[in-house]
Amino acid sequence: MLSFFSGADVTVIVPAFNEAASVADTIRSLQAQSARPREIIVVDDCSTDGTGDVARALGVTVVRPPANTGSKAGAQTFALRYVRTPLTIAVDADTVLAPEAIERLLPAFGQRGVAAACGFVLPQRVRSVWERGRYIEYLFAFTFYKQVQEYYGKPLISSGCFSMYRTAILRAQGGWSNRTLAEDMDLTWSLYQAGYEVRFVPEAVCYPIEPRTFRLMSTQLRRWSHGFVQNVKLHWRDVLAVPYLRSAVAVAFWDATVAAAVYLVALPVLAVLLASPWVLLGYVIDAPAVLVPVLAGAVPRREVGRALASVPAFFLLRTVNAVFFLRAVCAELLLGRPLRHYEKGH
Amino acid sequence: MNAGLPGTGIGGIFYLASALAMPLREAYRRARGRKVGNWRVVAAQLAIAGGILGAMWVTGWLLGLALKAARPITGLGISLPPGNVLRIATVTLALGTLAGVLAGVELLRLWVGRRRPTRAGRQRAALPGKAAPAGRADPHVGHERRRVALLLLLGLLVPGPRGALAQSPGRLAALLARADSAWAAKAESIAAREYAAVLAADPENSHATYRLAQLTRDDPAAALRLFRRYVELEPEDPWGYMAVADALAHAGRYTEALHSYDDALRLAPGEPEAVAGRAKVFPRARAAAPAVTPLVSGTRDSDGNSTFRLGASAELQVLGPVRVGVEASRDRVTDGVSTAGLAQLALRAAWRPGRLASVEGALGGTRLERSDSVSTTVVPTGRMRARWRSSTHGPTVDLRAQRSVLAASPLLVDNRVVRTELRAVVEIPVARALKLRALGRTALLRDNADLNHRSTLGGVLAVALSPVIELSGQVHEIRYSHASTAGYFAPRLGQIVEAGSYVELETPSGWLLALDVGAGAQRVAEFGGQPGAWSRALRWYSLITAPLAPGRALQLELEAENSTIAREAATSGAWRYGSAALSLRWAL
Repeated sequence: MLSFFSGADVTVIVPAFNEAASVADTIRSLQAQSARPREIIVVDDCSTDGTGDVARALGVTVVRPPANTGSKAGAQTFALRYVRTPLTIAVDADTVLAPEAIERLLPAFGQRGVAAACGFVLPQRVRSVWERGRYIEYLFAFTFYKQVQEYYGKPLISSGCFSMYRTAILRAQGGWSNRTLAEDMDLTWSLYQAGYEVRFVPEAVCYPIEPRTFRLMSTQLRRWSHGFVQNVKLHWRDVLAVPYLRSAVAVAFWDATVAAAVYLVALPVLAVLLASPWVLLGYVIDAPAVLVPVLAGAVPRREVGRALASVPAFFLLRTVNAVFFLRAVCAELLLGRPLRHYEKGH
Repeated sequence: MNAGLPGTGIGGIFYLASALAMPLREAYRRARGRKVGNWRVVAAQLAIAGGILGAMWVTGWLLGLALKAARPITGLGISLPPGNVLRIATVTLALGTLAGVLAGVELLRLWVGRRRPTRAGRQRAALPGKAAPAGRADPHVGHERRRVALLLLLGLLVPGPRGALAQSPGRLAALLARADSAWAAKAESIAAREYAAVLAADPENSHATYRLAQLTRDDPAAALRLFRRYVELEPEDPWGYMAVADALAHAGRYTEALHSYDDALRLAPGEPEAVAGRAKVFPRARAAAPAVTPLVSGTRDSDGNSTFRLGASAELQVLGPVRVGVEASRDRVTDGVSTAGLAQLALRAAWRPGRLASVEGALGGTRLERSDSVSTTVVPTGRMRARWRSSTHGPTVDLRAQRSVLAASPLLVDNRVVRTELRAVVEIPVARALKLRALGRTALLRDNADLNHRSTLGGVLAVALSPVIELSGQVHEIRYSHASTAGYFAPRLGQIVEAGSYVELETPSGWLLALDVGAGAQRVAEFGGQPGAWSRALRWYSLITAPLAPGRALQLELEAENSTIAREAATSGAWRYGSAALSLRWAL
C-alpha cells in the first residue's frame, strides 16, 4: 500500500477528562508540529463537558472507554491498544508543545537502548503566585538538575505531560501503571530496572497549564508527593541496583523527609529559642544560589524580568511543597494510609 | 514534578558535586580512550556550578558581615565565630550529610540481597538454578572478555549443584550492582568480569547475559551464543531477537538473521530498528541465497587465439554454512585455423564455518575435444581452497590446490596440457595498515609427451589507505624446469616488479566496482640464455556488479594482461591478452 505520509511515525495519546477548555490548544499544537505525528488519539475518559466533541471537530481520533478509567494512567493505557506506530507520545490535554518539540525528541531514539525521552517543561501561563513558583521551580530543575541527570544517563522522571516512548517496550511494561499516583515516575524507574535508557532533550519544550489557585495546587502536590513516596516504597530495592539513580532518589527522599522537617520545624524553633526573627532569613538564604540556574535558564529565553519577579513565589511554593511531602511521608510510611484516589488537578 | 526541595537540603549539594565532577569524568574517559561526552553540556553545567559556588560564598560573606554588624539588634546572645568558620561549618555539615546519605545508600545496596535486579530476574527467582563449575571465569582476566565469555558458556552448559555464591543472594546483588556500575562507567573489561561472575553464580540472569554478550563483540561467535541464551531466558523481549539477528548478519548468516528479525517484528510490530535491520539484511540474504548463474565469456590474445564460453552454475542446497552446487560450461577454442572444444561439469561445495574461515571446492571432469575431431578425452579436474584469518586484522592463510586443463589455444587442448598446482599465500599484518604477503606456487604441467614443473615465489608489501583502497609493491619470480613445445611459454626464469592497487567501491544501492591494476617491469631468461632487458608489464582486472533486484545481479568482468610471463599461462614470449565475462546471478 502506498503511503504519502511524510511526518513522524509516531502516535500521540492525549488523555482527557473534562478538558474541553484546553484540549483544542493541545491538538492544534500537535497538528502544527514540524514533524507531524501520524495519528493523534484523544482519550475522552467519559468527560461531561464535551471534550470528545471538541477533539473530534479538530479531526483527530477520539476513543472513549466504556467507563471512566479513574486515572490518567488508565486512560493512556486504554489508548495504547490503538497505537500502530513504533513510537508513542503521551501529552497531557492541558499541554501545548513548541513547534519542533517532537522533531527534537526523535533523534534520541537513534540509540537502541533508549526506551523513553522527555523534554523541557515550562508553565504555559505565569500569572498567579503558584504559577510563578512553579515557573521558577521548572527553570531551576530543568536547567540544572535534569541536565546533570541526563549527563549521568539517569533523568529522574520522563515527564508525564510530554514524553515519547518506544511502543513495543511500553507495551511490554504493560503501559502506564496506576499502582502509584505518579505513573510517569513509576514507568521511568521500571524502564531503568529493565535495562533501558531514558533521555532528556532540553531542546524539546512543552508548556503545561500549572495550577493557578492554591486548591488546584494542593490537589496536584498531594498527588505528586504521595506518588513519589509510593514509588520509593515500590521500587527502592530495584532502584538500588541502578547507579546514579539510587543516589538521586536517596537524596530526593532525604530532602523530602528530613530536610523538609528541618526546614519547616528547625528554623522556627531556633527563632523562638534565640528570640530572634533574623533566624528566619534561613528560608531565603539560598536565594542567590537558586538564582544562578534560574537566570541561566531565563536569559536565553529573554525572560529575566519574569524570572526575577517570580522568585519570591518560589520560596512560598517550596514551603508548601515541604508540607505536602512531609504529610505524604507520614501518611504513606508511618500511618499506613496510602492515597489511592486519583484527583485531577492541573 | 520535583521531589524534595530544589535549592535546599542536600539535593543542591549533590547536583553541585555532580556538575563539578563532570570535567573530571570526561578527562578520565578521555585518558582511558573512551568516547567522550558532550563538552558543551559539561561546560554549561560547570559554569552554573561555579556560579552557585560563587553565590554561596558571597552570601556567606555578606551574612557574616550582616550578623556581625547587627549583633546588637538581632538579639543573638552568642558570640559569632570569626572569619569563614560559619561558612565552612555550614558547607561541612551539608557535605557530611550528603556523604552520609550516599554512603548509607551504598551500604543498603550491599545489604539488600533478597531480590533480583530485574523484573524478569525476579520472576525467575523461583526457578531451580543451574550451576557454575567451581573453576568459573577467572575474575582477574577481565581484559580477556572473550575467554571469560567462553568459560562462562561452559558454565551455562554444565548443570550441577548451586554454587556457594548463588546461595548468597546479597552477594549476587552486590556483584550485579558492581557490574552495572562498571557498565555505566564504560569500564568494559571490569564490567565483563563482573557480569561473568554474576552468571557463574546465577546462569539464568538474563540481564547479565545480555550485557556480557554486548561486551563480547570481539568474539562474534561467543556473542551470538550469549544473545541466543538471552532469547531463551527472555523469549518475549524483541530486543533479544534483534541482537541475535545483528550478530547473525555480522557473521554473514543473512537468512537466519532475517528469521530473527521476523521474530522481533512479531513481538514489536513496526519497531524501526528491526525494520531497518531487516531491510539491510534482506538484499544480502537474497544475494546469499541459492542461485542460478548463467555465464558467457570470451578471450582473445595477441597470438590470434580466442575462446568463447557458455556456462552456468546452480546452487542445489544451502544447509547452514554448507552450500552445494553444480557448474557446467562449454568452451570453444580457436586460432583462426583450427578449433577445439571443452566441456566441463563439476559438483561444488562451500563450507563457511565462521566469518573468518571458509573452505570451498569443486570436483568433476573436463572433456577435451581435439581440433582434428579424432578423439575426445575426459580429464578429472577440480579445485580446493581453504582460507583462514585469525581475526579481522590478523594473519591470513590462503591455500589452494587445483587440477585444470590449459585451454588458451587449440594446440594446448590437442596436447592435453593439464596443470596440477598447489598455492599458498600467507599475509602478515606488520602494522595496522601495513601488510606483508608471501606467495608460493608449485605446478606440474603434464601433456601427451612431457612433464614440466613451474615454481613461483612472490612477495607483496601492501598499504591499506582505507578499508577499500590498497596500494602495493610486488615482486614475482617464475621458473620452469625446462622449455616446452606443448603450446605454453616456459622460460627458464621470469621476473616481475610492479606497483599495484586495489580499489573496491560499493554504493548503498548495491553497485560494486572492484579494480585491481598493476604496472611495472618484467624480464625473461630463456633456457641457455641470460635475462633480457626489462620491458613493460601491465595488468588490469575489473569487476562491476549491477543489482537488478534483491538477489539478482548482473556481473561484468574485464581483464587484460600484457605480460611475457603471464602468471597463469602464456602461449608465447610476447603475449597480450584480454577477456570479458558477463554473468547473471538469479537467486532462487
